[in-house]
Amino acid sequence: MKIQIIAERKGAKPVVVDVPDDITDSAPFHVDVDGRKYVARWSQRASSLVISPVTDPAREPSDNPAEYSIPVRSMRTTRFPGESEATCDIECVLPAGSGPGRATTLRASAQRFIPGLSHTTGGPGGRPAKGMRNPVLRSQITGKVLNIQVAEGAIVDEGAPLLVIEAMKMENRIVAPAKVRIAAIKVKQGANVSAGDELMRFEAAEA
Amino acid sequence: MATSRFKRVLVANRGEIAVRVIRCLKELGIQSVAVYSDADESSMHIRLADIAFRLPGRVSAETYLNIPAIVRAIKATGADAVHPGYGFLSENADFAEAVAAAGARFIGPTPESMRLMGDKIAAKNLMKKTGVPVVPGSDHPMESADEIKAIAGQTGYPLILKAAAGGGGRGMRVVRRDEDLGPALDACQREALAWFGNPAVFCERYIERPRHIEIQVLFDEHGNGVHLFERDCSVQRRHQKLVEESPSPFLDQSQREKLGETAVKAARAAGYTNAGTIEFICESPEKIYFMEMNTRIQVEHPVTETVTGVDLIRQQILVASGEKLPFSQKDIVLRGCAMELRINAEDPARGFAPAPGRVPQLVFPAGGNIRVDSHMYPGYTIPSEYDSMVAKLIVSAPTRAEVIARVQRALGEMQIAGVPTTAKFHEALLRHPAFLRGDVTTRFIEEEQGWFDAMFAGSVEGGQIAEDAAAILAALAFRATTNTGPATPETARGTRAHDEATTRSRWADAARLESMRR
Repeated sequence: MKIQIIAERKGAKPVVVDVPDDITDSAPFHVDVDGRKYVARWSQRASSLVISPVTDPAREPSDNPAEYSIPVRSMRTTRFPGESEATCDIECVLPAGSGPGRATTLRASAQRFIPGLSHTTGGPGGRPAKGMRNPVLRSQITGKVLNIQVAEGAIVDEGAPLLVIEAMKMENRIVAPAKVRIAAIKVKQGANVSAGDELMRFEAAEA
Repeated sequence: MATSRFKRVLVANRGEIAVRVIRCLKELGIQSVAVYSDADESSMHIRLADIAFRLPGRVSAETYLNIPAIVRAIKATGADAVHPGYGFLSENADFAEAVAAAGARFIGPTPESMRLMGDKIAAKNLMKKTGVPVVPGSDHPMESADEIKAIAGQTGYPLILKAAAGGGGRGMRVVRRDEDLGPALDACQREALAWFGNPAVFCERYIERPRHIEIQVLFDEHGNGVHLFERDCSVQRRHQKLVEESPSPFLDQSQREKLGETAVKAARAAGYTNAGTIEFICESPEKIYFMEMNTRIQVEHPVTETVTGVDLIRQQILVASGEKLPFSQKDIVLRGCAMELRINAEDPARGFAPAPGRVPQLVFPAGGNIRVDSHMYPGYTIPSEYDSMVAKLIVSAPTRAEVIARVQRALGEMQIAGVPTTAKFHEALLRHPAFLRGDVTTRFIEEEQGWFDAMFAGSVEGGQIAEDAAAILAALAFRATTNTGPATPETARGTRAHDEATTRSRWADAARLESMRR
């Protein structure tokens, strides 16, 4: 399975990772990152990845020395229906150049790599507006809709307050990601929402 | 073994502090009573307690803040004392009186001390009279903008207006010029009435970039009292503390001792008993002012326990049962350095948005001088009804530099699957030069937001292999959403939360924030 990864940090270039469709827990497998070859073992139970670069392609996986151990604290993927792209949040300790590695955070977008197709963003509902990554606004939080500050059809500026969701004793203000028209409001005041639930749909502010 | 006269203590709280208090009760040979809401029915504190009592309902107002319901629990279980923990009813004098009326002891100060210190104007005036430095400002509620203008004439701008009954960073307004005084006073009075039921507002000089330093005190009911040195809690976001440490890198030994003596004097003036904390606002080591007194145990008490060796919860219980403090001031020695990091179920990369949910896999760090206070267990579901703090990591070492190295090591070992946490904030913080120097104010996180945001996006320092390892992990994470694979023992066993998720439609299921079932 070829997967295209784009890290969110500045200057990061897309890479294509080729991983086997079937991976047995803790068993070695070959993986290719933009042509660089590794032997890896992934243990879900231990939450740990071990990799070693393959210097001689003819060498058997079990013969590889110098394995790097990468303990993973948390790996989460957010992917919504109808969207090809997912966001991966990873917290782990990567091998360091010198000295022991330190825990770090990584965020990347991932999608199936299909040769000839460029990386696209956006979900159902057509072409996203300028500056608008996604026409669907989803709740990042499980909580309760305290109030809704816009009406359907309204055109709002980037950063304009849209609604407030209460969770864990905190009031969380959700703001417009760009200048958009509110095409539809999918929740009512007082409703309980789960993370991932659709809150609103946007359209381009200019027709 | 147990010398305490208490036989059965009810813990009127939940989460990690309920676990902390119940552990201590066990060590004292005292029976523990847990109360729990419907949202907490599979909580760790029930498992550890000897007796449990259900408080019907999910929201705090119906359960942990419901005085009649907790009084029923006291009577039904025959508890002879109540530990309130922190938050909820811990600083509610009416609750302390209701506990006494139910025939049980309230483990904390008297209702009179709680009321006195809860009124910020009265507390400030008492401190001034006692000779404790206070921030220059008004000593009575403000009625008009002109009255405040007169005070501004003496103290200068900026000024801060505060609700006399306020707390937690609410009901405050900073004013920088005469014209803004009228509207600010109106708004502040309205908020004070809405949030605290009391429109009284006072004003004082606003300190722009302060440090937050607090002193732990402990008094018995026989007139003996000690301080247990300071905690520096300057790393805050919107008045919520994220890291606390002792000693403060800001004070030298003589300043430390002087501030401790000031705190003992202040608590004595209030006729205080049991454990309490005096919070100070620090402009410079020479300009340190009384801010408020917290009449309860605090979240960050383990920092003080670690550097002094005193079990504060144990002393709270013994003092409330009438025992004398087993030590005096000269016995309290500060050894080494300790730091507490709050692990909250919040995503620092998304504006600290709360993130309740299931934690399929959980491993806390271990090794010497590491303590974790938490109510989580593998498979626990963090409810959305309550505070987001789910664990406290407390680390100690002889020096601050060694503490920081140990915290970095410990964070790397910690495994919390399923939900984002403030652990990633702490990792970024531990790389910030100002924090490493011990040079931060309460405005630090706000001022350095851009720096933190860049860190949250990720940093890879190990060259090509680290870069590729990161990409492989992202690919494995993505693969898990496209390929559900065979059921693991965890999914086969299932939990209620998981069953609910699997009975939803596959679309709805896919829409949830998915985690690899590790």
